[in-house]
Amino acid sequence: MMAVLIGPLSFCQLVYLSILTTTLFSLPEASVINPPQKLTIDSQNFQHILSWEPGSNTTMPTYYNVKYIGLSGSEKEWKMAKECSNTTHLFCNLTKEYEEYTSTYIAMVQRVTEHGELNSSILEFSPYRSTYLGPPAVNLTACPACINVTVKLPAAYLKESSLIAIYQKLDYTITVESFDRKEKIPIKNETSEESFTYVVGSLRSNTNYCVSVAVAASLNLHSIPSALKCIITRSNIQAGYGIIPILNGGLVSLIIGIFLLGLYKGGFICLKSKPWPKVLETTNKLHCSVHEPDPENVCSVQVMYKEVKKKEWEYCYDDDSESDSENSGEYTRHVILGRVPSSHAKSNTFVHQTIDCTSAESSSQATELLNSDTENSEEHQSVIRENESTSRVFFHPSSEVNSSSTSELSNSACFNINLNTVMLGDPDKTWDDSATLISHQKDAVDLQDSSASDALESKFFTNTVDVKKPVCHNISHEWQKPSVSDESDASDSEYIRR
Amino acid sequence: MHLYYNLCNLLTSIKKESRKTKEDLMITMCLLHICLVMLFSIEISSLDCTMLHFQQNKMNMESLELLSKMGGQFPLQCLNENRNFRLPQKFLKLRQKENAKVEIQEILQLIFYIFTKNLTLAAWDGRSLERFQNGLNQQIEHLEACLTEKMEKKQPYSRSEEIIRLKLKKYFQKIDNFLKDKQYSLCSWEIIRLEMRRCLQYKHFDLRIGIRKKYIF
Repeated sequence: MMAVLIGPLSFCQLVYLSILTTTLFSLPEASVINPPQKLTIDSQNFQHILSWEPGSNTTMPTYYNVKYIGLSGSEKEWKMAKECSNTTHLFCNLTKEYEEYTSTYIAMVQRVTEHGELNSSILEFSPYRSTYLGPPAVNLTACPACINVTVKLPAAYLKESSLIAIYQKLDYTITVESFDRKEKIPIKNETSEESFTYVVGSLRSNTNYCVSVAVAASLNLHSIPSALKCIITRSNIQAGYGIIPILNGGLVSLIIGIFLLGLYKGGFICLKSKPWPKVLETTNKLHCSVHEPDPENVCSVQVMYKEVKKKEWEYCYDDDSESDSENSGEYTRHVILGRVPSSHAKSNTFVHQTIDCTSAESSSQATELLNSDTENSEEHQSVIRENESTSRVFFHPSSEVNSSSTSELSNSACFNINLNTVMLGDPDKTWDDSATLISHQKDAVDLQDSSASDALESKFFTNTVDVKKPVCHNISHEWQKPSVSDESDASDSEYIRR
Repeated sequence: MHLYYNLCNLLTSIKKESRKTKEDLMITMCLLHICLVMLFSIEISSLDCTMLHFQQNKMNMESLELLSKMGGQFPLQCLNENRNFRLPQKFLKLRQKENAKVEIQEILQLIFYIFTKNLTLAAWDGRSLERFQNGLNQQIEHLEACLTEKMEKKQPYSRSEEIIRLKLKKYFQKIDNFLKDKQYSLCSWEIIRLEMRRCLQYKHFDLRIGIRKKYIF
């Protein structure tokens, strides 16, 4: 029983003793003062603030001294930071002390005690390479699908100096983010100006974007970016922006139009091509033929029975197309009028005026028939329908030669000639019967013809561009005296073939 | 470069095997053009003297980092060795273009020369030191290659330039003498290490001015 009681009692004593000893032992530790610890420098734009932690907790106020020295300098002793001597604060501003920004400085914090000074560990610091640059002042303005970023560099806490003066060139990074943080666009560039502008383009219009700018140097990569600033880009649809391209387009087209007009006036451009004269079209084909521009043209021809002296024999033939096909032997010949119409006389060809006495059919058939003729123009094919009239036929050549027009010629009577009744003879001989009549007619015709014939003769033989040969020569025929028949039926008309 | 060459060959061979339609020919031509451009650009970039200052800046940065890494904190016992060597602050500012390049090359060579001395007592990290030395060597060779390639005429120095040049030479001579006097002790090396860091910063500092005013590169 006694042993049990003694046991617990001694246990309590043991515990009590141990508590006492521990408290006793702990006491001296409380009296140990540690030097300041964890020195750090917070440097921004060459403003340096040294801060530290006290070594141990004390209730009494403690005083600190901050000392520094610039390495690679001539000082061999610690210098005292004037503003931080005997300070109770736990920080010290060393901006003015670290003047030589390219040097390396070492700093130390002393704790002032009654027994002496406790030195902390040293802190090495090189402002040029370790200070944090920024944040810059950023201003945003919106523009259509872009943002105008104006950046102003922060001031350096150095005497008469700026960041650009220290570093010459600074690299900056603009980070553009969409509001929902889904897009991030970093833009890197460099500057030598204190204040500069950058236009961030290729953005979506009417969108909220946030911009942040950071500045750094090539030997000092420490930087503090600016706070995010947000802005909404303007819309692209603006009237003012649409007008300018439209105006430009109009101006360009106007200039082109004026240029083309000038060319047209100058004759370099021909808008409408002049139609190839119909005469020329057929002159290639025809040798002695008359093209019928207007089937309805009616003309009268003077047939000179009497004279053989190199006057044209002009014959009027019917275009008897209703009778037969072209190969039926019935040739229709288009009479050549010896008149050269001025309107057509580009190439001095003369117009072949068709003589369509009766029908208004096209003379194409006839043309082809004539084309098949040989060049021998001495013989004229003639298809003469028998007419009921006498053998003497008078034709008056037309005074108007405008073949394209439907000029009706005077004396538009056409006569059918039965060749059998035609007699050709010596030019010297005169026809007794028809002399007077013919001469009378002839005179009338001559007057009409005078001008034309001369012109014709002169022009007849002038070969033109596409005319292969003179159209119709003066015809001096030697007609065979056909057998005269009194047949007046058209069907029985005689065909003379070449 | 060989990689690109092989790539080009591969591409052209692939195109040859395929059906020779007109489109394929066009694509082949386009690819060939791209290949040629790549080859030429590689040739150019390997000795790119137009981008010289960028390369130089980058290598300066690396050299500075290595210098800091080589040793630890500055030993307090060496404070009494603290010396101001009067680094010429305005060197390279008045440089004419060709002379500036030559001057930078000279400075680099001098620095390199210092770090070839007796380093046994320095107690620095061997690897960092080696890398630092190699970096310097590379920089010097690159500068020399670009200078000889361009065959630039060395213009005579002006009076002010001559003065600066002399100051620089004096500076490096002082450093050399200091090391000799202290018998290449640890403290002397630490002091010199700090000084070289300053020098490289300064050199870099002035190069940038030169670039902006298009003096140097």
